Amino acid sequence: MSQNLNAKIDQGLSIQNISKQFGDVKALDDVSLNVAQGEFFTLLGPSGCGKTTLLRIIAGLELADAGRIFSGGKEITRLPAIKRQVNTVFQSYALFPHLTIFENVAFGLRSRKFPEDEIRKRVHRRLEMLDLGAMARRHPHQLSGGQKQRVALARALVNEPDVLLLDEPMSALDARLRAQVQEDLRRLQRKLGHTFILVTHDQAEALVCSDRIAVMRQGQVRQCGTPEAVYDNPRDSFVAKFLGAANLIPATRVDGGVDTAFGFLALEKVPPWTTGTVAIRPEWIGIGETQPAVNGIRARVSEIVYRGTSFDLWLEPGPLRVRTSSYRRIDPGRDVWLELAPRELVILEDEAC
Amino acid sequence: MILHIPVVIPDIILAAALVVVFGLLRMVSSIFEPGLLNMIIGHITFQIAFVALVVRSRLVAIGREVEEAARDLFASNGYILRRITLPLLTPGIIAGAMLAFTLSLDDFVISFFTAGPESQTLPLFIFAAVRRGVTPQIHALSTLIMLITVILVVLTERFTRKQETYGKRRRDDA
Repeated sequence: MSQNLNAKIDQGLSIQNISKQFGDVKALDDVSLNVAQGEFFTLLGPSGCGKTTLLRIIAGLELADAGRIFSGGKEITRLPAIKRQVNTVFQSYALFPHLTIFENVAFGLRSRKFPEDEIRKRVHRRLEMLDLGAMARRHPHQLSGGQKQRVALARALVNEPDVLLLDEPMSALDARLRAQVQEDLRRLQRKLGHTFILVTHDQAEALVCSDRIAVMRQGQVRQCGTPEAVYDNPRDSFVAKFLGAANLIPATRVDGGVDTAFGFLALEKVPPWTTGTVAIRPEWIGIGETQPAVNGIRARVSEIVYRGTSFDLWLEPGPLRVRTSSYRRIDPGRDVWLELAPRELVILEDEAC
Repeated sequence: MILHIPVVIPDIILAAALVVVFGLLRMVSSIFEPGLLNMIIGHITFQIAFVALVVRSRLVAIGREVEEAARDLFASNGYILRRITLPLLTPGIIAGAMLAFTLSLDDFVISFFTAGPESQTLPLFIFAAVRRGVTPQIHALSTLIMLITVILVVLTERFTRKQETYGKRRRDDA
């Protein structure tokens, strides 16, 4: 880790050993994370994994049972929400329905008693930046979903927070708009250089937006890293399946590789277990007419799914899923050779799947 | 729970209970002699429930997130109450007030049990007058009361409906 990044982590947000319990349910179990200043960080996980609880603890809307939070080197664990330089974009946007868009955005500045001309200047700058200039006098119910989402964003950003929290801000948008907003959000974050923490259960969103991703499950962080690192090297079967598609193959360790239902597969590294799981992404499996030198499997195409940019082939024995580019159509019933190259096989940590 | 009791309990029982309570309170102070004060207390007792129901449904429709958003935007509790909660609650409060007024205007039983010799409500006046015979005056009064009640009920309805559409809109957002 470079000196520069270390300094940025010192100025950023540090979450240390946070736990939170609701009744019998452990929402967060000893979670530690460091988010560097200016980073776009994503908490990814299925519903109920504790990601929103963690976000609310960072915002100060919930207090942790144990653990500490630092922002810019200062402890904020017990600081109430109104004293934190942290703002949130809520899932339902939570716009104030009786106030105009201008007053919505101005709210955070007004409650801190900024002078009127300063408020006017700042609010208009944000509204222009997010393409909402013409909406200033309207009320929230007169706006479309995408516009409301931008108002919520403007309302948080106008306060120039140290950290901006986004709680599934795109879940109410339709798929096409969502893809657009993801890219816009990424660009906006780059331009402003603020720290963004995004909570989502949408893996595509996490991959598009983030500098780093933390995959969460049952109140714990399973894996944390850059999108590429987590995608290419998932730690266990949960991460492998949650972020992208994966073929999980139960395996037993033998000399030089593993023994599986498909026979012997050579590996580059020695697995840490005697029986466990290896994984391979569908698009990493090679497909051909001739037998490859190593790790070849003879298989028959049983089903074919067209996905626009690719085909998904389901093969027997297996089932194995292979993704090929869309100009290579292979009809069901054909016999092919698959190549599960040793460098593409990921050894997962879990004992068995 | 306790708040709902006056809604379901028959007026006559509530009125009898009030008479008993005022009887006890009279031992403490003579201001609880039957009269205007007793009547006001009696009316408030059974109307609190109706008003609370209306206002609370509005409160539920507003939801917790708006308040949290305000807190997240550095607003103190007083500021939230003044700029967010109260303005959003206003239609509910107005609807509740109109409902209370209508109920109060129409109420006979509780007024009758708690009124003193000096105090009188419109229904009590009409009741006393009718026993002496129906005069054109009574017809006119009855018509007026009917009109006022209908207008108020319609207005209340309108406010309640407004708050329902707002509630629906919120659910669409989510």
